Amino acid sequence: MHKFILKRILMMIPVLLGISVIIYTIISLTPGNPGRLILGERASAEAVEAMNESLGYYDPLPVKYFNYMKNLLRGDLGTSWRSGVSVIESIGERFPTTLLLATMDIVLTAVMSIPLGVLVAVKKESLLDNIMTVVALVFTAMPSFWLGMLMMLVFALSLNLLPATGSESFAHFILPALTMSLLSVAQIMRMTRSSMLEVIRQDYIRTARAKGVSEQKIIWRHAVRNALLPVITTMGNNFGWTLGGSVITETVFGMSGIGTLLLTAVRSKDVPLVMGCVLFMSFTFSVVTLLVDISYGIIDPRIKAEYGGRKG
Amino acid sequence: MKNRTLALILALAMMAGMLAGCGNSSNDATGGGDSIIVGISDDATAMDPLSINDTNTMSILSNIYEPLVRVNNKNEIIPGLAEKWSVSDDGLEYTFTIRKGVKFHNGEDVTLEDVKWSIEAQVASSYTGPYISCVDHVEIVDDSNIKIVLSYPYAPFLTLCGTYTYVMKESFYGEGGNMAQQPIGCGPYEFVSWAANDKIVLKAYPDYFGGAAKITNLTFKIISNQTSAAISLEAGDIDMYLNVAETDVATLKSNSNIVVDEKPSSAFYYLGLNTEDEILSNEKVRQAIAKAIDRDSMVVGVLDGYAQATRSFIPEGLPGYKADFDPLPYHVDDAKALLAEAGYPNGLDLVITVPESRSAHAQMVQADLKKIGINLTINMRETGAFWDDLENGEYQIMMMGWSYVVMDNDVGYYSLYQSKEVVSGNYPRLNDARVDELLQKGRESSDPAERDAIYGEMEEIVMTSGAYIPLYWRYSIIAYNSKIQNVTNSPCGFYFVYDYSWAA
Repeated sequence: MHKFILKRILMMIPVLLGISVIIYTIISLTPGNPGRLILGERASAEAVEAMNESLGYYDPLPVKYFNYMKNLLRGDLGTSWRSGVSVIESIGERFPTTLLLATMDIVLTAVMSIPLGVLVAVKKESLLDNIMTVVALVFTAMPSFWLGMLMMLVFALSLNLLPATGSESFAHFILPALTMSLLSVAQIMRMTRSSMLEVIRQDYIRTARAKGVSEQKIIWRHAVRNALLPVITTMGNNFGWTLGGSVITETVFGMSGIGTLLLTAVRSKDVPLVMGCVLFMSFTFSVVTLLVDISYGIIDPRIKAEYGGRKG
Repeated sequence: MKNRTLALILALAMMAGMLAGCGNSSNDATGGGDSIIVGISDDATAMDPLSINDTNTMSILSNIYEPLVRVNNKNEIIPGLAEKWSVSDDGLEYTFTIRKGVKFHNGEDVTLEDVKWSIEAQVASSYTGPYISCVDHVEIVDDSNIKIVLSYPYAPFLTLCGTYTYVMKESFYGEGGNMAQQPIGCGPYEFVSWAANDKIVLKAYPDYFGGAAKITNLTFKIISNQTSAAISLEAGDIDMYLNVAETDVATLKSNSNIVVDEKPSSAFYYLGLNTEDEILSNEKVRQAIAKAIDRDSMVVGVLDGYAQATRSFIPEGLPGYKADFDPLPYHVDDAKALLAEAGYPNGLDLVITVPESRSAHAQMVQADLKKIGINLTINMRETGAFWDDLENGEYQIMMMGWSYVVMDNDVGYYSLYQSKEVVSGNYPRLNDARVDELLQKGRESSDPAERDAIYGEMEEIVMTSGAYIPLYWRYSIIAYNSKIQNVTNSPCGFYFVYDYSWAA
């Protein structure tokens, strides 16, 4: 198991390196003049040139990339071209918002979709099954900005229960997290359902039934635990994505997370900030994927046994 | 099974209770009292006057820093840090009498050396310098007077002092200081905190020389999605929003607790025609295009009517303004005739270059020009690339916006029309000796009648050339809680919260 984790961690290095090359090249090759964007349309040509010079904008691409990576390896992600604030600081400031939002999203999704998925699997092809499928699909089909607005109109404006925008308190996170999770409920619920149906057909379930184990115990103890594996993979991946910031939800609810940070950075062609955000997102995504893989072993004893075997 | 169902119901009930509980704390905006939350769509770029020049940030900073003089809502110059001032007869020397006993937010005294240093620093800055390049040097006259000497007489100078003469201390920029993030000024509000892209918190400076502000806590809340902001305003999360979208106006107006104030801003939009282009160097072609543009349809079609179509860059109230000014009136048949005269009886192909945000405008122009036989291709560019194209002259027709930082003709469009330097605005490469001469006269004259004649003549020349085709004045739409008093929709986008108060 340790060997596996170590191998996976080492694998992250070429992945991140590859991403850094691609992103740096793309953002450097896109047209646009950072000095002009920073100084504004009335600045003189000399001032713009001096600004570009000080940013190292005129250096050849390989030189720029090499300098960037040299600093990166020293742990220096640079400072934003636009605000002059350290990139690490900006990310650090925004990450708690994104982390809380992603966590609430995943928890709400799990709480809503897994029990429902199990329920509709047990009551396969019942009226409930059909209704839930339709409801879930309706939510999935909604664009997130639209659902977000709708939630705001209902919960913030009409009922005046929750704040519409911002990220100051826990209450501010409820609507955006709910919006995000409603959009993924269908996916997770359907996945739980089909995975459950597959497991329920297995021999060991039949054996359990034959032994006279209660239906409750069969479902929750034997079936669900085995059926959760693909569900966890998907939810893990979703979590990795949302940790990279959910641009639309953050924008609609006026939250300042990683998503909006990246969006502003891209718009102002702020190379160090874009690079920092993208590398950070890739890093968290890799870590989350790794954690998901590790969690397999904990949930499914068969996988743990396999690794144990390899070790010996 | 029954127990589980019960537990589930209980859990749901608890969640509902939690939601309701949160509701009590949800309304941050007070709807009165000593706090105000102002929603804005973009974050500030920095808190240091020496490294910013965007209107949004300057408006925020006007509450923290004090300039020598301020410009009020009626476009009048009123005292700021200087209690009075005088101008020499040749218009070259401005003497300001600085208030005594004024202190910075950290308790340090404001000295004449600080004033001198601050103005020099703003002249030297690449951000603010271009706006006050007329300043030659600054002298300390005696223990209360400071003299700014200009290198040429410049009529709008005092108005510009309202924005580009913030007073700081040199030592704030030294070791341990962080003006970009933790500013110190001597204006009515002192800095508390700034969470990037989230909010900027200020509080009233109790020792402000004009008396402490009536509203103690001032928060600027950044909400980039305009509709979300409108909902927040209605829900009471914020008290005011300065960037209301056209589509939200009707909804907000139907709410009796909210005032919506819309009027033409100082930002104008226009088509620029590259006069050095092979085809467009022909004035007749440019004039034909100008006569083919249906501005009124554009205002309705693209902006829901929340803009004012214009034939000139001079707003009402400024020298040179003529209500019925229209040198190239909209007339499709005349436009066709002009095009034929220019040697294109069968039409021609042209390209319009616009940033992504103006694709709808470009489509309207495309449809208009189709009527006179011009086949227009739309070339959509990312903002940075768009500017590159303009600077390099690699375009035929473009659309862009420009604005008056302060309400003065010279500040408004000197850099658009002058032929010396293309890159600071004159992208159509207008090159007219008479216009250059008039520009020079206009900036040196302080006689209203004379300026009226100068700018009137200049506008006639420029707008007949077809190099610039004015389209419309954008509306500035703000909305706020009806209990806030003394709010004025500022055409230049400056909001001085010190003036505001809550109705009892």
